[in-house]
Amino acid sequence: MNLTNLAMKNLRRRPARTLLTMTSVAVSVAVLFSLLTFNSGYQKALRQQLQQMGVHLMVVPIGCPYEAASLVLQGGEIENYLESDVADRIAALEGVAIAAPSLMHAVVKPDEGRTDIYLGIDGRTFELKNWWRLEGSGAVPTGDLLAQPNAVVLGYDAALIEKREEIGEKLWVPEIESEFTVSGILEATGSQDDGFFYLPLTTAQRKFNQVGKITAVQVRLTDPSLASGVAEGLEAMLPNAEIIRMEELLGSMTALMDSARALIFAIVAVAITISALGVLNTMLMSVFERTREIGVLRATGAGRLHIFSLIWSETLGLTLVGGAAGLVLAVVGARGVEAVIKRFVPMAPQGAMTSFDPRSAMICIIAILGVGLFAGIYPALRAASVRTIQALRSE
Amino acid sequence: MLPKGYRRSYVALLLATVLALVPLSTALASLCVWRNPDADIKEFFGGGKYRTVLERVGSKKTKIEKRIGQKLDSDELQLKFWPVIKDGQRVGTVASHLGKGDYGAIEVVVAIVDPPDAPAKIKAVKIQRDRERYRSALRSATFLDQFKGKQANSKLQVGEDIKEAHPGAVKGSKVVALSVKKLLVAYEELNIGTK
Repeated sequence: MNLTNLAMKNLRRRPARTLLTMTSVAVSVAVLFSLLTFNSGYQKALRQQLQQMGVHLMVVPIGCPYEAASLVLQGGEIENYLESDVADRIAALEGVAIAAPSLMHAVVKPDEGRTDIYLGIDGRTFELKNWWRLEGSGAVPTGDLLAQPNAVVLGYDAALIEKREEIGEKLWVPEIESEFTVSGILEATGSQDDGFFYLPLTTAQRKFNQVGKITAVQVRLTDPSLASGVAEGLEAMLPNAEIIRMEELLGSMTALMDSARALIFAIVAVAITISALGVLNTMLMSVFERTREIGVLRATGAGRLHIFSLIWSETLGLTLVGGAAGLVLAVVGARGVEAVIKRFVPMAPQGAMTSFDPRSAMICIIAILGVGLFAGIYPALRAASVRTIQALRSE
Repeated sequence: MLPKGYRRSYVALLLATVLALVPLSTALASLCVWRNPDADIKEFFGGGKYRTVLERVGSKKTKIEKRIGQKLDSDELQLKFWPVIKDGQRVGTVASHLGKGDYGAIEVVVAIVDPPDAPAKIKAVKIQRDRERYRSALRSATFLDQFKGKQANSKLQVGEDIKEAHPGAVKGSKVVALSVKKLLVAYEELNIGTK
């Protein structure tokens, strides 16, 4: 029988204890892996979401720029307004490809536990969001869809929740007592756009009593590297507006996430330390219980190195199997963990934020290998230093 | 390769994890949510607690479709019911349904009671969300109280045992009646009263 087989056999002799220790290791590894993949996934999803917006700069009324941008991203209502002509003035600047104005209006329905977001837009938004496609035909939507004043284009989720499936169906908005006709339904984008009701800009301005007003201008540049220069120009031109560079917004969000991450990793470090102590305790108890057996092994020719290797192999087996189970647990439970974590992180982007990341898996395996090596040294040394005669005499 | 005894334990552990995650994914299957459980339970039953029963229509699909007289929508193949417990006794069940109205969706919430030795019947019906033009008529007690005491075998047809809420809300009234019928039939066919 070789050392590995003997080590596995020894672990099997105390199944409950072995399983509990492995479980503590598995849970620690699962949490570590989930956090590592979630963190990289969060940044990736956030960047993807911002890039998917097709927007390099956002012009919003003066106030806290990040609050305003977050309201736009998350579908809140901005209380200050810009004049409609701002979009045309921005579009005239050199380096600006598209300047799309929009008026956002949120109807909060606390008794229904939901908020309907109406977004007044025109053809420029369709031009800006050139990845949008119409449900059914897959065609690229154009400003013609909102040519009629009572037209409404529905985001994918909005159509689903209102059970509007076909063009020409009606939509009544009780809060403004107005009837609209569905002129288009967008394919799912996986972003907040899916939940919006898109109205013609002038209709939205009139119905929501904001004639000549807009809440944001989304700007696409001919070259993203021009962002700083154009932003400076806009600041000089529009003293009552905030200019938000999407790259800055991304930086602020990730900084916010980093501070939360530091705290979470401190907690994980404690969890891993506790599981390492658990492994050490298990192995030490095992060594004490098997003193006589170790004596027999020594008496039948096993050297100190053999005993050391045996105990160390057991510790490594315990931690590696537990670690592997933890990785499986993390992968299987990734969606559930994501759903829970999403509730707590600031501005969680839409779409998947966790996926199997080989680099993170490697970090976890190295970490747990380190735990195994560390936790196994003392019990292995202790076992190797047992004197044969004393060990044989022990009960 | 893990030893035999451990293999069983790990398979059990993995299975438990998967089973624990199933409710998270299936929660998304049903479009219609119950928006105000506490207020509704108080209104229907004078208070109590609830639990969730998620049922797949499965093999009962054809029978349910035959009884309601039309096909079920794709979002109706899995339904949620909420048995309500008060003072340790089950006092009834709440269910919700998303119907296609004239001007948007109509979300209906029904309270069902299951008296011993009698078929389940409607205790109350309410509209939790809608966009209908005649929404006040549709939400009126005059219209909704007509459903009280109805059973799965009741006709629940507008123009027969149910009068429309308003001449301009015939379709909306039909949607509400159909929602109630669907939930009652599904309740009976899926034996929700025993779950």
